[in-house]
Amino acid sequence: MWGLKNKFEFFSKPCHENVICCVYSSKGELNLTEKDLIKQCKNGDSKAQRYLYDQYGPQLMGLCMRYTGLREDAEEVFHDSLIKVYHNLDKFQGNSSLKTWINRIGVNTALDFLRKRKNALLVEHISDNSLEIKDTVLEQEVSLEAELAMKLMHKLPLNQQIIINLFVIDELSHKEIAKQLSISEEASRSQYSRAKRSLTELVKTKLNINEQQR
Amino acid sequence: MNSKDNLQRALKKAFEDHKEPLHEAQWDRLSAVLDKEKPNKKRFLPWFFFSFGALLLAVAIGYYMGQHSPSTAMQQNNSPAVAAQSQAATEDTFNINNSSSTKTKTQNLSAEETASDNSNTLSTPNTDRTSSNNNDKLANATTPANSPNTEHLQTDKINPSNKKSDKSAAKGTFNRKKPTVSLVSKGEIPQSGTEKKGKINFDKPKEMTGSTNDAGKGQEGATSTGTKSDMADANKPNKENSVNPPIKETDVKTKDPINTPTKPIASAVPTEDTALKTIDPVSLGNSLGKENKDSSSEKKDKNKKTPPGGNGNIQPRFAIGFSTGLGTTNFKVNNISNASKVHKDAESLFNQSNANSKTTHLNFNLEWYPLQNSKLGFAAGFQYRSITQNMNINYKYNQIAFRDTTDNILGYIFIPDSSKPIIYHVQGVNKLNYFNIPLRVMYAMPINNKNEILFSGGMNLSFLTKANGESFSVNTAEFSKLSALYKNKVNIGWTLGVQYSYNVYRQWWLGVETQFQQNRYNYFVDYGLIRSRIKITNYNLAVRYKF
Repeated sequence: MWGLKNKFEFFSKPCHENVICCVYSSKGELNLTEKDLIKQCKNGDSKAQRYLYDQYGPQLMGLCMRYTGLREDAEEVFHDSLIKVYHNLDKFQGNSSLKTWINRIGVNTALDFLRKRKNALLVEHISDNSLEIKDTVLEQEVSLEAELAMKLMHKLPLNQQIIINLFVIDELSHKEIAKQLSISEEASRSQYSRAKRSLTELVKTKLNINEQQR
Repeated sequence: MNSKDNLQRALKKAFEDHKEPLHEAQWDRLSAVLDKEKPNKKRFLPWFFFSFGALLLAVAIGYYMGQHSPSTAMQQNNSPAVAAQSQAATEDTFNINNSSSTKTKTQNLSAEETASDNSNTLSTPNTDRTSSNNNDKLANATTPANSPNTEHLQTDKINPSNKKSDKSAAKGTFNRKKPTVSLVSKGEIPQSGTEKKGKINFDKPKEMTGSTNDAGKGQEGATSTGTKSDMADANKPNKENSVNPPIKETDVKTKDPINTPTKPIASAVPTEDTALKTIDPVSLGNSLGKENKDSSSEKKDKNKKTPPGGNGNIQPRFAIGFSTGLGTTNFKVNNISNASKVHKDAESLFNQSNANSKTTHLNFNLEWYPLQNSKLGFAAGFQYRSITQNMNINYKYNQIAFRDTTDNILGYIFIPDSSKPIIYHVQGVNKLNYFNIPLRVMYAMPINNKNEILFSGGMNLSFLTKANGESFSVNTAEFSKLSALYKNKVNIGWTLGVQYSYNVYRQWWLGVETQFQQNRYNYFVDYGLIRSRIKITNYNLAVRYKF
């Protein structure tokens, strides 16, 4: 199908379930599935690669920004992630959606980046397992803009940012986090408690400021 | 809804469809990397097809050369002559049969020429007269002195000294006699002989010692006749009556190895079938004494079984070889440039990553021995080599280098184990593919016809065609593409090898080979360059085809 790419127009929005792209030609509508896209990307079809970039890139870039906090670093992680995606497309088995799979690669790449560049993730050494951390209550339901939420998150220590990202947003369990970061589950839980308390305080502070501004 | 849910929900909602805009420059950067990898994927294909095509071509050439090898050519060259002679002999045979007992002078002359031509053949004892051996026929035609009942075919032209004693021959008469049995063995004088008429010149060649004449069976259409006086004359020691007297006119004729023998054979061999069977291309092709010696030796050589893998005496000058096998590699660091900027663990990591390397290769080469029967030759070809490196490294990053402004390492900050330093676990497989062109000098040492040992040595031009995998940099604690870390993708090394070959079938040889090879290997490590050498030892199975 992609061999005739010059004759077709590509539409970036999915038009059917399990179909990520519809190709329209004089013969009618042709559906491009994830499988087709992966196949063409593996074959080195630059148009397919560009399509995948446009389709999944912005969200991946958002993920990279969440983890790194800086645009430059995020671009580095984003680049490495997409290279890994293109190289490992043949390993994608279709157990999850392509988007989930790409995001997982993004998370792993970001963690590698932080581990190397920032010498982070030494969370195991923090001996706060025995501490009972009181939850700070966030009474009312709040709505945060992504930009604000990211700004608040990046005020936390790097370890806590990572735990918040993994546990809250990327929805990994403590067991998975422990495995990912090579730490114990208890350490993951305690780190999360600290992060949540700190972040709640930050949100409250921010909201109070907003109330005062009102 | 509790506060926990509120915070989580707020964050989740905030980042649910969070997207960041992409810059075109990012795609340019990405596509540049992807485009760079595209030709890498396809790069091997031309080599593959080239190699395959070259292999096919070489096999085709080998087959062609095998079909048109010198031995084959020699046989083919002989064949038409033999055929022509056979045909000529057959024709003559018919002529003789039809012409009854009257022979022309020319025919007699030819017969005598053949007699002298084939004196060497006559020395071979033959006892079975009924056999259609050409030698018997020739002996019969050329032993008038030994056997009275054999034909005397002497003419003036052949032996001018016999003019007096061979008047009938000079007149061109062809005398017959009732067939009698004459058995001559190894120099014995003929036992019996009855000649009623006709003049016979009994030329007894000195070398004529073992001819057997069995004219009594009367297989030949014509038998010679002679008188006792003739025999007596003939038995007189007469230096002139020799088989190989000085020949003047016939010299010219008899030196023609192809044309000359046809008529004499015809005169000696009466039947078509016999004529066809009795023609010996060697004895026919060599007529005079000196030449007879050569023909005799050639005949002996021909009777020898052709040595396998060669073309008889002619040693093949070309060989196509294909070998494949497994090997071990050993990387040795020679030195590190900019060593002051390279982390001290870099060399150790380099050695660890190369520790478990294995190699396989396919080798195709053409051997050429420029001088006939020379054991020294040259070999060139191409070789595809794949090196696989299984990495399983646990590196404890417990010494962090601190540098000056020019990136020279001033010292290392040691991270104690109590602070749990980072441990990098590097696991994976790196693959290096090389295309080599070995140019070697070969020395073939034959043990016997079926066994030989080949020694080879020379240079090896090496091209790195593919490098898959990643390398961990201790300076930056990052992984980078292996392909980007090679300084020279082309380098020159050397190679040595010993091969034992066994001739399995005709020109096909099967062998086992040990090959040692060394090439340079320059590898970037952050601020410096590791200069190393790959030492490869291969154990191969080799197939060769000589032509």
